Amino acid sequence: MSKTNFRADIVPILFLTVVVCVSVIALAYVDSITYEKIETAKLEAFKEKLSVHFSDMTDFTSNDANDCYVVFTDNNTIGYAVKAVGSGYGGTIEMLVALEPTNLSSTDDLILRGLSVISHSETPGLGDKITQSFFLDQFQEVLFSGIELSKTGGDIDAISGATISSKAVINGIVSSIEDRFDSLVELVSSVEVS
Amino acid sequence: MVHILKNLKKGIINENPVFILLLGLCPTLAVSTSIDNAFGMTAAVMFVLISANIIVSLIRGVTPDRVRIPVFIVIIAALVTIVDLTMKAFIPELSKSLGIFIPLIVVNCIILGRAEAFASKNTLADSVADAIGMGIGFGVAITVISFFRQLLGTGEITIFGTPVFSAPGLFDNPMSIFILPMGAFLVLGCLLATLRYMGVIKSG
Repeated sequence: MSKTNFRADIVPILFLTVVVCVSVIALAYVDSITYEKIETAKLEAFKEKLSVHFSDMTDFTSNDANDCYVVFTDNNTIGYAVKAVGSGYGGTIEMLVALEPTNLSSTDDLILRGLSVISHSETPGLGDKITQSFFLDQFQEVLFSGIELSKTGGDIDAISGATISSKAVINGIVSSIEDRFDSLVELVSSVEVS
Repeated sequence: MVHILKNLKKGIINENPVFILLLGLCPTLAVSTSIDNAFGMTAAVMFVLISANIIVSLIRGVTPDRVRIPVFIVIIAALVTIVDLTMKAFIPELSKSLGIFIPLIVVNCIILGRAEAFASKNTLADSVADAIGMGIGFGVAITVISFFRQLLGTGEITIFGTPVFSAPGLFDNPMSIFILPMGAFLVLGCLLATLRYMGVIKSG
């Protein structure tokens, strides 16, 4: 049994503790001055993405899960949006599906107003064409039931050389809207009540 | 003074972290897809490198040897988080394109390597000179790689989002492979071979 040596055993522990404490204080300070800016930057970036589809929007509201949105112009509802997620060739594709303000009795009545890609990691030059307008424009004013590749009877032409990415976009839209339809209905009714 | 100049110069040429020491290759290969990314990454690495060297050099007399690596890592991680938060708050666009590679500066061997091998044994002035030299060396390397990748892979060079040069034939038919991860290895390999051929890298 060796005796505890203060200099060799305790000092390193105390020193590391002090370094960690000082770092934490510094980080807390930086966080306190950047937190609000980061949140506004995120909100602004998202607002810009929504306004691509709703050019006259003035405000929007979202549900707690932050995947369904109702878009307003001066307190009038002008449309809905749903965040959609598909699994592509290179990873997750995150999309924003803009919807016309139709009657929300079932998913069959939904009409897409447009589509934009929020983030993706598809192959540059092939799969990343899902972000180009020739592909995305196909999703304007389309019935939800028409969201299917044209070779299986739908309204959407796949990108040649990027079938997996094209399918991922379509599957992502369909499954996400089906999953989130109830939350959208809930959000819309809560907005109408208030 | 001579000392300081020597320490400054060695990082840029004789001990260039990327081309000679082959350190920090992960961000170098991953984010070198455009000149803008290269500049952003250089600024982030430069800030962390200089601050880390300053702090490590200042506490070098009191740091117990047994915990020096954890201490360095904590300091570097705190600095990187500061950069990450600041970037997210003030330049969200750049922060988005550099993505995960900002947090990954924590484990960038250039920074820990300089803290451990240089700043923990040298004076403040020498450590700052060393950090600036290494930072410039890293910046030059990643910018050169980005230049070739962006030019060959997209056919045009853009600086801060503004196109400054566009190669007519390449722009219509870019060699996308250079933007892909594989292109980074091709460009780095060719650059290393050229530097060796020119005698900048001594063999053996």
